[in-house]
Amino acid sequence: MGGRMVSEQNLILRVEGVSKAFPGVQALSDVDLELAAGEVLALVGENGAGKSTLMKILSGAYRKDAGRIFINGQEVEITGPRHAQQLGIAIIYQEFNLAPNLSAAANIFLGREPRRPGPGRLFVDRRRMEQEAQKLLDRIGARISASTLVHDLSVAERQMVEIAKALAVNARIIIMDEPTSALGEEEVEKLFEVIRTLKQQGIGIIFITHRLEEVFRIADRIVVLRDGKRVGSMLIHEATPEKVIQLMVGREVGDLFQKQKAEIGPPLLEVRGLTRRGVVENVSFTLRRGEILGFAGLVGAGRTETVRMIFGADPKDAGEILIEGKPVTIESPKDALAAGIGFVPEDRGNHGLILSLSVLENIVLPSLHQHTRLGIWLNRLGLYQTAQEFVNKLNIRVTQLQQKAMFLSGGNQQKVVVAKWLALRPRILIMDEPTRGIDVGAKAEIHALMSRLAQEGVGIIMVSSELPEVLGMSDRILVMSEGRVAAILNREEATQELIMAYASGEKIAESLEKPAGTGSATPANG
Amino acid sequence: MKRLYLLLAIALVATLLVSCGPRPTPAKPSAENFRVVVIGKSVHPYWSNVELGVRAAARDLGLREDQAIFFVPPTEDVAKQIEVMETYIAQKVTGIAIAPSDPAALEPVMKKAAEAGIIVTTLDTPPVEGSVSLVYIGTDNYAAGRMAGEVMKQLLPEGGKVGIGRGSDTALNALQRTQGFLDAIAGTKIQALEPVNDKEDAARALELANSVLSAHPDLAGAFGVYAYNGPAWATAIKEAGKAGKIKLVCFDATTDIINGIKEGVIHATIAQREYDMGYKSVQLIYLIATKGKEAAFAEMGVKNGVIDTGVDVITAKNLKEYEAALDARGIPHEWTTKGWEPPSQ
Amino acid sequence: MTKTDTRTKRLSFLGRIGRVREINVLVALVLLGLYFYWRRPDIFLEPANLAVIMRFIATFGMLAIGEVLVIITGGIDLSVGSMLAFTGVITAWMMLKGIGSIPPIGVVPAILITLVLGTLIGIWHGTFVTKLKIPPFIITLGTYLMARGFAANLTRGYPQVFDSGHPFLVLGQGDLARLMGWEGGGIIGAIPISFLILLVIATIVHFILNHTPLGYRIYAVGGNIEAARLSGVNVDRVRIFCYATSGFLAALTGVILASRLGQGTPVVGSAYELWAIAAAVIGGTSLRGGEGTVLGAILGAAIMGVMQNGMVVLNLSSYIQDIILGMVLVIAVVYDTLRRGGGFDFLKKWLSRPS
Repeated sequence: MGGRMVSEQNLILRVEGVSKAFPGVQALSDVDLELAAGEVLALVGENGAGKSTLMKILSGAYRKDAGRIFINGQEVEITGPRHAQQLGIAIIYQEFNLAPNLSAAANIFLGREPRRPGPGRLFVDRRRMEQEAQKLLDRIGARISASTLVHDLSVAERQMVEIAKALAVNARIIIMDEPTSALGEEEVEKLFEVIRTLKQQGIGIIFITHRLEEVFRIADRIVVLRDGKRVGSMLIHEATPEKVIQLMVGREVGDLFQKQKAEIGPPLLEVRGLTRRGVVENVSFTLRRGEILGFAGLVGAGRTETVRMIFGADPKDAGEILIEGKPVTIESPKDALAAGIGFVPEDRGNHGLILSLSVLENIVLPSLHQHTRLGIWLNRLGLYQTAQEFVNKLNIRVTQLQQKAMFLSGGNQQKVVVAKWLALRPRILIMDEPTRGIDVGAKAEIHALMSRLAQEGVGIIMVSSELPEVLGMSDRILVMSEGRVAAILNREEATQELIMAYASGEKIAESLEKPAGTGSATPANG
Repeated sequence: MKRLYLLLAIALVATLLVSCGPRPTPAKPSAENFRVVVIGKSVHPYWSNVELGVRAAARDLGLREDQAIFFVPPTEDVAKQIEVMETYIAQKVTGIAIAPSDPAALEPVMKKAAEAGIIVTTLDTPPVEGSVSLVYIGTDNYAAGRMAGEVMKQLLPEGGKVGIGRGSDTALNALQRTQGFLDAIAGTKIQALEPVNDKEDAARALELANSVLSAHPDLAGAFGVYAYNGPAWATAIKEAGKAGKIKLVCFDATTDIINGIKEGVIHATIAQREYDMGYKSVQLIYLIATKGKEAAFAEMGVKNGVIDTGVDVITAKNLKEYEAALDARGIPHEWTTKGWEPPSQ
Repeated sequence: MTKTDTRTKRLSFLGRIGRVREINVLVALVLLGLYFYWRRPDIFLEPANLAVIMRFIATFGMLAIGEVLVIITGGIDLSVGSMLAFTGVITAWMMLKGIGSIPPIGVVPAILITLVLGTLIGIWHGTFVTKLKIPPFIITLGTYLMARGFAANLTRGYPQVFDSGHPFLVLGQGDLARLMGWEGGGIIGAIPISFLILLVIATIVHFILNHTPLGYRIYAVGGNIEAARLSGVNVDRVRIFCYATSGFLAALTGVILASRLGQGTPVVGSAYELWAIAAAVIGGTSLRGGEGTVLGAILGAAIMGVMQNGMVVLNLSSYIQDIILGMVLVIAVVYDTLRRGGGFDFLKKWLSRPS
């Protein structure tokens, strides 16, 4: 495939023929990689393609089995995370390694706090630490006060702190693992500005993401991994999304982001005046049978908060919920379950799954009561059959049902979360960022599944920060802005530009509830 | 929310109920100011008897109830004793008599009390050498342990294995009693096993006694160092069907120990005069405060800074006399020998 | 096939019994037993000595089962030792003296009232932990102090002594032979009633943990409380159940011990909560929550019981006994942590390092 497109002298990192095997898996075989100073390299590939393994080798978490690594032309043997740091390699993980109870400055200098001069060196020189930290933050253009507690920072701001922390140890190579997965549109743009600043300062960046659209916005070059092998490398102007996807999955991806036609039935869920003061104000909408209602908006617009209140996960101050026209009281997830609502939360690892339990246990957890004899003891065969049924149906790749959830890939984990609700045969399914952080293949499968569920008459609320997904999957799109419903758009009229206009508060809708595109006979509530 | 209020209300009522007990009244001027505090080691019948002695002394001296205070932590607790000492130092009481759970650890705070002009004495457990404690009132534990050993020697002229159960491997009274016992039997055919330590837990004491009995089917005798050790041995011996055959010597005169003597499973017990310790502590401090040290020492018979309260050796033979002696001095006891006669042999 | 596979297999729900960890503990137990038997073949396996060990296992196994439940859900119960003293005193008091103006009551009602009281205290703990978000360490520490204080205050230290013929004493002092009216009966006959009670309790709790939705939810709450809540599990009720069970078992143990000692005394149960937690941990319960079994708790208690008895049988100095018990605990936990976290890789690397 594409050759060495960067001149040798500029290379700050060169990886030659690196391999790594785990028991039973060849995670990397003979992979090459090169990074020039001031270059943004996008590393893409499905989950399990070997991206993380490669990055862990570079950051010293794993040792390579074979191959050579050169930094500034000199061969190095990275022996551990500290060594990697000394070599100027920093990695910023999806889950941040920050202490929330300390200030940004203290985090940036954690373990290397500047000391007071002379005999006072037992003590931290707090003022100097904050000044130095502030300089670093200013250098990347982050508008954060160094004395702020990390606890009080947004996800995007924490990322800035992580980057500043990397700069504090003179990192020349910064690896970012899915840095945008938790960010809203505006914040992504801010991050990109920071990346451009770093670029100008001659720092090489390896950028790992699932969002191809971002790759084309920021990267200079793309390297594609598949099944532990490097399958392609191209400069950004040579690449197209179709070409990259094709390399990633090794096959043509057809109907990505396309909902199949489903019959839209009568109203299923009506939400009226849902409010939690300061967070969500007076949200009302109707969801119909067979409909996918997309929730769009910027991060912090109150989408997750809204759906969590509907599910009873968080308390509400006001609001009414009707299911098939009848008011229901939902004060806890248990009530929501009884009302036939399922919820796939945003944070898979922390809220969706119990990672220490098996796939089987996770799938049957909400539906346990359906599998008892005399309401006392569990019918294990029934549990097993149910779990197996959904593992087959959703094509969840597990070696066995007793496999712990923590050992699954992101896409398979998400399918387990979906499966546990499907086992209850819900009428309404709420999915918060259903395809975040999962690979293209699994994403398509989840979209196909959502489509199929809609055809079976399930009403789906899908919260998503990816506009193409919202546009492709939704029958109608509810746009939230600052805790309020800014607009409810029909599929036909919605465009990325229009959604962004409503989401950013530039445009305010004149009428909030519009009848769904097809088959609606019932008048909308107000 | 309603439930929360209910909970809070319950908590409030509970606090009020608990705090309804007697409260120290603020010190009045003049000689009325006399206040003495006796600090024991743990909640135990032994210390309840000390408390009775304290109360009796207060009554006899014409003191109000809040002028003679008795405090005891639920279990042995050095930190708690220090804390209580400091509280009463701050209140500037007249005198403090303490049974230090750890004499070395208590010494600094005792010194602090003495420096604050408080009369400091010790009871039950002797203080460290060169202590600020003016007088030690109590049993000479080593002598008492020796006495137990002498009794065992008489009970086992042929010698044999003897098990020892105690509640501590570090407390001075346990160590002294054990050492006295071991010294008394030294040179005889009696062979002492390693002492077992139950850490002041009655259930563990019983289980350890069981273990020792099963480990040594030829056990000839047993020695219970702490008050509950005797009954623990007694139960274990009865379960092994060896009541009367294994010679059991123990300490103190609690109801269950006296029952053991009546049943013939306990052969002798060394009874301390803990009531006297409480009584004399209050009496001594009162006398020092009112008549001065010299006069008080002379009147109480203090020798070398010690008032030895002595011990009684109780066996089935003299149990009735012991009861009569207690009754004569008005010392209460829960047990009675009514309807029981000592074996005739 | 792979390392991952074997690990997942052993942690699975359906295979929770007979996991490798319990087999490890069982092997250690058998080895210990063999060692003591080798040293004292005349005594160690005698019925009377086994009865001693079984009584120990009954006490600490029962408490450890309660701890396992609480610890699986990510909590801790520090009150059980003091609860023993409190419930033992209360039950003896009710039978012998009566409370306040209430006259003494019969054995069975006194026991039942005590068990209900223990359960209520457990519910009290659970309610504070779940509804008021008080750390379990703190609220049970409160009871740890209060229960012993009540026991001491109620009795002023005087044990409530039963006459030797009192029917209540059968519970703690009787064995199978006495229960069935056998003559002799050997090892089987020597099984204490308290041990039989433990077996019944263990079977019930094991059944709950492995065969009922409740048990399943207990593990789910321990694994990830938020995910469990979002899966419709009433997480508060699950946790309260665990604290209530721990309180119930502490009360039951307190009653049995009072019967065993022939008296209700406050001088009992000191540091038992720590022993019970140690037994649970030796048996493979993770203090981080989510993992633990009834079988493990009993095996952990058995290891400690065999150690304690064996060291007395060998006439070891009690100073040394504590050191050895402490080392056993540390070794067990370090071994388990290394095995679980793959820490042995580090050890292997270190051993194979060229020197």
